[in-house]
Amino acid sequence: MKKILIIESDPILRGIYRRKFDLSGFVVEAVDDGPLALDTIPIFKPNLIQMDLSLPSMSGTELIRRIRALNNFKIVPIVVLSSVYRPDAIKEAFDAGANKCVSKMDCTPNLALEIVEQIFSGEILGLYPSPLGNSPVPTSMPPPPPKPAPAPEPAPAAPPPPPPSSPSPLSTPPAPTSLPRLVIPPSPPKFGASAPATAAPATSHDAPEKMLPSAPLIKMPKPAATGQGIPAPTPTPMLSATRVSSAPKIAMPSGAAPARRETVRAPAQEAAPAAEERTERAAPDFGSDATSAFRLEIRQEFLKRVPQIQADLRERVGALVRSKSTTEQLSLLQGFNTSISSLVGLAGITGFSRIAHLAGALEALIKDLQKRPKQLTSSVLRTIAHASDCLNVLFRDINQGTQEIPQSLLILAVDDEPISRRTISVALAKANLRCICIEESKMAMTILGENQFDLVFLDAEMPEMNGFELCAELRKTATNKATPVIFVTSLTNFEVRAQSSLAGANDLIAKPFLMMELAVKALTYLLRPKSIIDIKSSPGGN
Amino acid sequence: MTSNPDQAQAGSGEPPVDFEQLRAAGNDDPELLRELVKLYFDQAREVMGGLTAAVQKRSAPETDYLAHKLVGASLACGMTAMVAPLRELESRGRKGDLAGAEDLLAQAVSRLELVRAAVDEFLRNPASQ
Repeated sequence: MKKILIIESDPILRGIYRRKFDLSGFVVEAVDDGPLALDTIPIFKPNLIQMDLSLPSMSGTELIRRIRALNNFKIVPIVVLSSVYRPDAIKEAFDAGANKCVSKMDCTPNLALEIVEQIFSGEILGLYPSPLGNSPVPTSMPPPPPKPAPAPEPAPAAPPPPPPSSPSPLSTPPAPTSLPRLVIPPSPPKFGASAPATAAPATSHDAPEKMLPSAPLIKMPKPAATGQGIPAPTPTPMLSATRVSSAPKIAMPSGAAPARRETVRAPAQEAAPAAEERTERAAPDFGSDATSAFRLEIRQEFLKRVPQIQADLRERVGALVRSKSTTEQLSLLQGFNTSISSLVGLAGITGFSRIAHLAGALEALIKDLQKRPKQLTSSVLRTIAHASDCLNVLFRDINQGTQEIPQSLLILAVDDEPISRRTISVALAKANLRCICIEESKMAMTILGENQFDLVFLDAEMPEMNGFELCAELRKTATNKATPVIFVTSLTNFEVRAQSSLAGANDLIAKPFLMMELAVKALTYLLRPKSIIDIKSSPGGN
Repeated sequence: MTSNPDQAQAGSGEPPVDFEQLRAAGNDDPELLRELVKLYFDQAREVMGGLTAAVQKRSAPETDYLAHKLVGASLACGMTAMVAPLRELESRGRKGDLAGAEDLLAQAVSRLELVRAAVDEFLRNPASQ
């Protein structure tokens, strides 16, 4: 019987994965950190390791390197769970020897199981996620084994494993008693007719499960939309496989046929067949009742923990805002990172996609700040506090609002300065968001009059029409009177803040900004329920 | 803000470029970093030309606008040595008083060369910073 080692710091996530693999006939061990994993591996001799990249006392990448340095574990398949907002960490994990990377924001227990089964069947061993999603391709990452042998045995002397359908007590030794059993699995999910399948939360929560198997995998770049004269943004992982792949079309003022929202939405239709294909490939067959019961149970576990998570978020953000020294801030960021990383995994595995994605972006921002603590400016702190507030709104509406990630979002950035346009574009691409970048404010005004945008970024100082005037004017349009507007400016004094509010803007980010800060800020507005966004219908409406 | 940014810069002993900010602007992507550096110096050449003309013809609004534009780019790319003289030019342009603007402009020009030398060295040997 195949043995799986789970390395995950969050006890609930460990329990969920453990139960899923247990019930599927695997022998499972679970540990909460890297050093313990390194002690466990030579004794337990796993056939596969599933691990989170965010671990408390040792980075996931470092742990992979050390595992690869162990005798007999140079080729044991390693599946890592990571955030799509941290492509650098994903690349490092592959470089260190990971075999598969899965977005923890979209990873359901079914998907985790499917990946494990695919690896054991040799289907995807040694191949890395395809840049475009559906067809795995070898990459320049560490070369796959010469022959993708099914389930390489780390211990050469171990007998060949029997087929999973005929487990033998002799071939399934209990986990070594010397190993600490950190996870006490709760009672197994109730299979059968009595399972309260109909009591499952809203059907929109099912979406991630339907995106099997390729959607939640970490995707690499697609050619992104370009603004006027702006180079294509840096390739980034996909937020979701169903996001549009072609540039949004907008109505331009040059006399071209105006393109309304229907035109902008068109690419989503092109994506439909792929989504259907993914649904067809949803493999694990536990019966719908069992799957629903399991899903319901893990969601209930998550919901029970929500008040604690909310209190924890409030406390951590408050402490960060109050902290004075860099040392203190770094320590707080480390704690915040561990906490938010758990939230990403929990929300992802329970299908609360909006929470998972916003928390995932916030986790990436916190990681950036750990790397560059002096970038923890008041603007960044405001963005963190704002994102935390948005998470609380999403928690509050957890059983009411949609959890689906919005598709085909249209974002406009107006800035006369080319480096700003480029960095805004790259920052948004980190969240797989694309923007139209316009240099001239008057042209931007024409476009804003003819197209509805989901979010607008404005510079303050521009020739012809400054950002405040442009903002006030766009509030008069039918198309964008309620569109969130964020100023991105190096002018951050009180006068500018007041002017931006009076013009009807929703927020302000100080230049220079961290890329992930801008991405988090954008997601905060885009993932928040529309009814919550402060409507600015006229100048002075603030 | 000091009225003599060159003295402040020389006295502070700070390097002309904040390479951590430059790396952050480049998203730790060497290709993007090079692209931004090129965009910066292309823009700096254009803006400095415009600033020279604006100061010569005593156009305060134009001085304010152009200095502000390059301040934003300098902050974004970590070209910190450029910020003080440009901020001062921006401030004087906003107040409509361009007295001493020529000196500030000359400081900005000389600092741009310092910045360029530092960035060139960094691009040749990124590990040096």
